[in-house]
Amino acid sequence: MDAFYSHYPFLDGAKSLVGSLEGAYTQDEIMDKAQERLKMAVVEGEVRLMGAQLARMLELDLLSYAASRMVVAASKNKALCARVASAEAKRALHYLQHEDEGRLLFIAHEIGLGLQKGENGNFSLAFFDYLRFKPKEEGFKLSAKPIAGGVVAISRADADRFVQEAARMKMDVLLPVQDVKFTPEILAIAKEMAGLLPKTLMQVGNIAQGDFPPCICRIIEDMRNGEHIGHQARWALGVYLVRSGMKMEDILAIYASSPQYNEGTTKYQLEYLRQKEYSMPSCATMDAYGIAQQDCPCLVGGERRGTPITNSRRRTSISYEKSKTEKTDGAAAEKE
Amino acid sequence: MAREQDYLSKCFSQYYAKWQPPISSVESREFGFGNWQTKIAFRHLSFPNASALCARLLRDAPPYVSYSAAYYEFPDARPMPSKNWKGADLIFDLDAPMHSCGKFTCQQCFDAIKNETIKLIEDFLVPDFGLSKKEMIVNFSGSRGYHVHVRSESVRGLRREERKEIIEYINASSVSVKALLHDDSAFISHEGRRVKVPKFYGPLSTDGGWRGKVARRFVQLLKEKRLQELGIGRKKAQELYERQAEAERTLCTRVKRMDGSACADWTKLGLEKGYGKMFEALVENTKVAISTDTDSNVTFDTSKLLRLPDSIHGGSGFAARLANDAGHTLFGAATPALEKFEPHVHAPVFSDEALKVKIVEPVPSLPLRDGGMSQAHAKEEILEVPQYLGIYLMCKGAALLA
Ligand SMILES: [Zn+2]
Repeated sequence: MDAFYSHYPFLDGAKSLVGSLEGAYTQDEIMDKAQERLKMAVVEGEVRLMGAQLARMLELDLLSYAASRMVVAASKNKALCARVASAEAKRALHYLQHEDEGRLLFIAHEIGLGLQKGENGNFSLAFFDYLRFKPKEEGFKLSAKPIAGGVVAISRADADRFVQEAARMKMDVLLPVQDVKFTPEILAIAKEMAGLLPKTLMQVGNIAQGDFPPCICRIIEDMRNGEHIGHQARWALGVYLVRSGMKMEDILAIYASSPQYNEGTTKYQLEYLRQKEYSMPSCATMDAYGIAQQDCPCLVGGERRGTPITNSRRRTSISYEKSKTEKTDGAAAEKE
Repeated sequence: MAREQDYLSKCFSQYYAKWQPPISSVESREFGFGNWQTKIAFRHLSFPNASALCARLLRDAPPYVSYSAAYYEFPDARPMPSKNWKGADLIFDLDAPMHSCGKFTCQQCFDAIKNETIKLIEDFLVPDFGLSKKEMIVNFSGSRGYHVHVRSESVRGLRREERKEIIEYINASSVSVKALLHDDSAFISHEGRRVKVPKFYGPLSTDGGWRGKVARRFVQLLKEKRLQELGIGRKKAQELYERQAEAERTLCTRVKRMDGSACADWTKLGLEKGYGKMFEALVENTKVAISTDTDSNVTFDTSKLLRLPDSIHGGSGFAARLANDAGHTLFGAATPALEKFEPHVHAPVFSDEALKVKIVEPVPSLPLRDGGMSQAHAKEEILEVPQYLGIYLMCKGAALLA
């Protein structure tokens, strides 16, 4: 077997190859490899490259990718899927950088990226492909790029990044698996892998649930117990969860514990909060609403400082802080 | 106002009696109707086809009709997520900024916003994004601006962030002068003194994207003798006008900076200093002033509704008429090209028959459909005006039926 599809196992051509290898290896061999591969992706955020290029290893490598996709699908865990997709795409980049132009273009087209050869060893992308597959880094901002006639000229290095990004997006899709029966082994690995996700990625986006400040915990608890949540508490909780950078489905999972939960309405309200970009009310405002708690770290010398977000115990480099400095005045909070 | 509202509704209904909506996929759009109090009083409406929509407009004659740029599987479902978004046209909403003319939008405001719209299309959508004019419709908003709707397949799937980035490119909010102009000035020793030698490298007029855009804008302003718009003094500007060809050549001649990148040597224009300020003015002059305001943005918030083209705007009685020359007609009258579109001439759709009205607040002299100007009215009076003008004044709340 040629190393090509082992390097780019997300290509459609790899699928038929996997089919042809059926029965050549034991399920244990494949699952061991898959587990190893997933662990690297989940824990280190990167899948290591292979050293040797023996046919047997290449084949097992390809099969382990296919098996790892099964595990991810079985987990139904979006965070796991995203983490694995990003790690696999990073691995692909290492190989992409050494491909000749023809192969790079082939791979790009296989995954729906309309990459074209440009002038002087450069490349070009159709404008809307550029937008769709644009990596997040500042340097890819449209305004810094030579756009003309619906085409954006890019360097070879940028072209590699775009292929990486298109591959990541292709893999970052949870396959619908309602009707699929997974073996207990696959389900067990799926569970284990989800458990290995770095704390900040697990069930919540950026702030882990255990790190919620007491006022927020109290609101969630009341909600779970089916108690009536006041209008302001409901709103504050929504703003907190949205601004803390959690994914919508994780937030919904919290609301789902309420006996009165209605997914459509909750989603709608949360989307509304997100779009309006409300600021988190300050802890002083929370106090005025009567929803601050006595055992909160925001209490300093009889005064409440900061916001429930700044007073969350664990904070990672959270996007809300980069994108917008948190306002702590109560005025913004009353915009409701 | 009840009598006036009844009258206006009757007129609007007559208008819709022989009307066709100039939009595609009516069945996949959400519609919203306004009443005399709010512009969107009812939304989540849907119609199986254009004739069902027309029948409803004929019956209800709402003062405002809006539709979604988005296509939905279930346009009347609520809340929003259950509509199942299928994609959306790419919309640009250009509105004349506040001006002393207030609610009686003046010619100057109309001209300025029309030029901004032309700039959006001619300087950005077509040359940069590669869109063809066949893929877009442009309509007068009925009030103080224009809407551009790009309807091609290529834009439908764009997500919020991507739409936002397009706006940030067009309104230059993501453009930094630092990335356009490089100050490579250096000090050298000259007869025992340290002397500053200015060196400013900037974009070539042949560059793509924003770089070439500002360089070409400079050349255009130079040719049109408008350099004072960039804060360049009269004397210096005159000097540049006299050696225009040379300046033009400078901006398309490649020189290499220390880092090997190809630039034009802007120092040769001899502006002494103030290149930074001049470039800031140049970016301002090149961009299209389109807002990124999150609350009202129809470009990236595709759940927002916008005026249905060719429908009546109840705040003016004007039709939100299509304003591009794609062979479209309204009741047999050809749509003028955007360049020729004059709201006061093309947007009034009611008759010239005399209508007796009572002026109830000061009204300035207004451009008439036939090219003339109306009388200004400082105090209450009863007079006869053409029906279309009477309707305009009533919609503005400045007149009553007499
Ligand atoms: Zn004005």
